[in-house]
Amino acid sequence: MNEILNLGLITAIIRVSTPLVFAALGGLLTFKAGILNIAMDGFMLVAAFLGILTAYFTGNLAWAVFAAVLGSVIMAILFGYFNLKFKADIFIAGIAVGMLASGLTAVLLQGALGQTGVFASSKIPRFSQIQIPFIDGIPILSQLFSGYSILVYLAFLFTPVVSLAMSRTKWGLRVRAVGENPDSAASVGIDVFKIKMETVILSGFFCGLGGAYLSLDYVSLFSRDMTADRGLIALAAIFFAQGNPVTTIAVTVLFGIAQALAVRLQQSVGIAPQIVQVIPYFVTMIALIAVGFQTVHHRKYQQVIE
Amino acid sequence: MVNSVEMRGIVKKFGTLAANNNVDFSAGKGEVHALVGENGAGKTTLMNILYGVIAPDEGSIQIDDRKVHIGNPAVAIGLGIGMVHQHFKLVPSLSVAENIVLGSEPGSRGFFDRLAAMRQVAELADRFALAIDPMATVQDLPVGLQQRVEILKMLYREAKILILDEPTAVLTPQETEELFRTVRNLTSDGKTVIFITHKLNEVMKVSDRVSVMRAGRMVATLNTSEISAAQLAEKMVGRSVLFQVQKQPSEPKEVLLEVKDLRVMSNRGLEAVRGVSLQVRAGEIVGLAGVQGNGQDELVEVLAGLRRSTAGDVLLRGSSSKDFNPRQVREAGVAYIPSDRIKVGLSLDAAIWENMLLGYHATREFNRGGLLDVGKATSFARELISRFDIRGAQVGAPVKSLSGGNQQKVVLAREFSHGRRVIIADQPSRGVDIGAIEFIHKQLVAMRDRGCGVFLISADLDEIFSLSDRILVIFHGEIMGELAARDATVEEVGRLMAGVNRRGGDVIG
Ligand SMILES: Nc1ncnc2c1ncn2[C@@H]1O[C@H](COP(=O)(O)OP(=O)(O)OP(=O)(O)O)[C@@H](O)[C@H]1O
Ligand SMILES: [Mg+2]
Repeated sequence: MNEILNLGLITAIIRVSTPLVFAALGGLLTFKAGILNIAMDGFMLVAAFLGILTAYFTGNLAWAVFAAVLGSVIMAILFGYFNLKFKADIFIAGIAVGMLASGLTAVLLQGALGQTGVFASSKIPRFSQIQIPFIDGIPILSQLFSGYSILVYLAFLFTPVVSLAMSRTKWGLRVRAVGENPDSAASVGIDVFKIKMETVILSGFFCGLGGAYLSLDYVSLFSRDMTADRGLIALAAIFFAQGNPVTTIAVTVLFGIAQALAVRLQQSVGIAPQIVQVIPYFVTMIALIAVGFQTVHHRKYQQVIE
Repeated sequence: MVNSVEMRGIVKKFGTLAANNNVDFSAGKGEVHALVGENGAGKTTLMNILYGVIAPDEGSIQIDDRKVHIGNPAVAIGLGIGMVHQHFKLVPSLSVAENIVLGSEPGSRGFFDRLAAMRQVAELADRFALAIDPMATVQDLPVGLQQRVEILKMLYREAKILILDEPTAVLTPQETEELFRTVRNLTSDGKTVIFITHKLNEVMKVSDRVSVMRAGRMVATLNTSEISAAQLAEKMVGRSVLFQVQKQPSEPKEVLLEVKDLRVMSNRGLEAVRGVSLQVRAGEIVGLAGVQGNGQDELVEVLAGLRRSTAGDVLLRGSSSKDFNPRQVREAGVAYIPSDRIKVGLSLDAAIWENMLLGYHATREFNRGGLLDVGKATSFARELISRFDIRGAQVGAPVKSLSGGNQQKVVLAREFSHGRRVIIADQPSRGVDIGAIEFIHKQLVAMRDRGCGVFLISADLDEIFSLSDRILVIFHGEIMGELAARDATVEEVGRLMAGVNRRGGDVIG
């Protein structure tokens, strides 16, 4: 009994963490390129909505995911242009994209689906659960690692890909150079705008997958502002990990653990759901305070002057 | 001579200011061409145009007798042009090799071949006799080596025309010598070197020809062998310049700054300052000579409140200022001119008047009813701009719109003008033109005569000798000796700087 509970908990953690992982992967790329990407919630929200909409009308999940990613990427391009081309302040650009996403999805929710708060339908297909061949028969392993949707596996598979892209490719080196010192990158002929834009578009891609996961897999519905600041929480994880990909993903999973545990506690001990809802923000805040202290500490003893 | 660079009728305006006003410039193959002129004369602008960083409003450029349009640095690199900027353009957290190959990295199918990069850089360094560790992280390197990275960056891209914008401003005399050797190697290889500097002895020493700019115009191009440093100075400034400041013997009074057996760790966790004791009295200038990297930076940072010491004490007018933060240091009457004024002394995006107020913004003088008295602050800034002759400065414009040397003057103006008693001047004339050096030196002497204590740190022995009343020499974090400036010789100071003791002649450390 106890063991089942534990296994279930781990499954829950993986499922809760997945959207955070997607957002963190996207945010990592822009972070490395020196962009404070506060628009990821907007990207994900549009993706979540388009995913549900397309799934509802076509009944085809592949099209749904494609539409979700496309929508998210378009939002990302918008954000990139505001900030990088028209030199809008990053906060203004981020808030504009966020409000656009929230407003647009709310209007379309009403216009196209005739709902005001939540949309769900039995016409929306579900993802099939993938059984991993090698571990299929093994009891605990198969319970833990088999049976998720393709998106969950993608999230965790993309983690080493992003990490390697950053550390081992020419492009990754250029992204890091652009993020740290755009002038120096420009002076060796690197197109800073292009590199930054590429990371923004890729963050749109990952947020698109994250959004699709949220509405099509995690729950099978769309509700207004359903991303619940996961983009910002992922950003906090990135700052906490100081941009290290593996640490970042570890931290997002930690956030996932906190949330999954909280849900369990609510079910078994019966603490108020409001408290549970606060937990992700609370953990994020603690993490950021830790980063703050770390930075101050670092300053004191290492001295800022290089 | 074959011209490898030919620029004609170059015009570049920033608003109403013509940074380059119908400038002609050419440099021959295999020549070292010095480019001189006062701060803000337009030298960097001209070279930025050649490197494709800035687009000219008018004018044409020929490289190897072919008309070209250089729209961005990538085009310039393709044409064999390389530039080491006045303020280095390196990525601090990346390695030497990564910085050098950045933008044209070795490797296939998008992967970056780090090992190949290391190998190529090592080979390149070998070929041009520019020893460097390809694996070192750039931020850990002293400036001399950072510059070497910049030069290797150009050579890696097989540049034939190398632009060096004030390369010696941050170098020690030894490093400068090495750089000159490199420059000669390069020109004997058939490369063209364009060399911007404010140090006329360097022009005389290393260049074949020299072009002089003043206020956005090219005023002369001459063969170096046919002109003297004094004539050159006059061409630059439009009047004759004093190379040696006039001063009376000092009359030292009470001790203002005292350092007692101070020990300080460097960023790398090594002991950089090893038991330094010294005094600076009212009415004297104490010069600290030494090869860069012998603990001066760490010592000065402790005095400025930017770094903690591990042992010993610092006394300001007799009371301990140990572990003071920068603000407390200021409030105790210390003015601080940091050697790296761009990083430590200025906020580049903030307005000139704001920068002139930094650190003094909370004083009663500039506040009224709890608010900043902007009117007063701006008129104060205006006064400083004219007094310090900061060219091209609008009080409200960001500091980064100024030329390199004029940015430095903003720091100097601020630090000289708030009535401090102790002045810590770290490389005060680095990067400023000869007219300004004369002015700064006069100011320092005037401050001394008014009863300030001046602690001067300089890698430039000429500066140390012409200003100091007493000279201290630092080597490996220890004071090697103290000399009265009157009877010190350059040879003796040089020996102490190299760690050779006065009597024995044996190397310590
Ligand atoms: N981006 C800019 N915006 C506005 N003004 C500028 C800009 N860049 C340069 N200027 C102005 O153009 C003039 C020439 O600047 P430049 O940097 O070419 O001088 P310089 O000869 O290199 O001087 P220094 O010896 O001090 O480096 C200066 O008055 C400077 O203030
Ligand atoms: Mg310049």
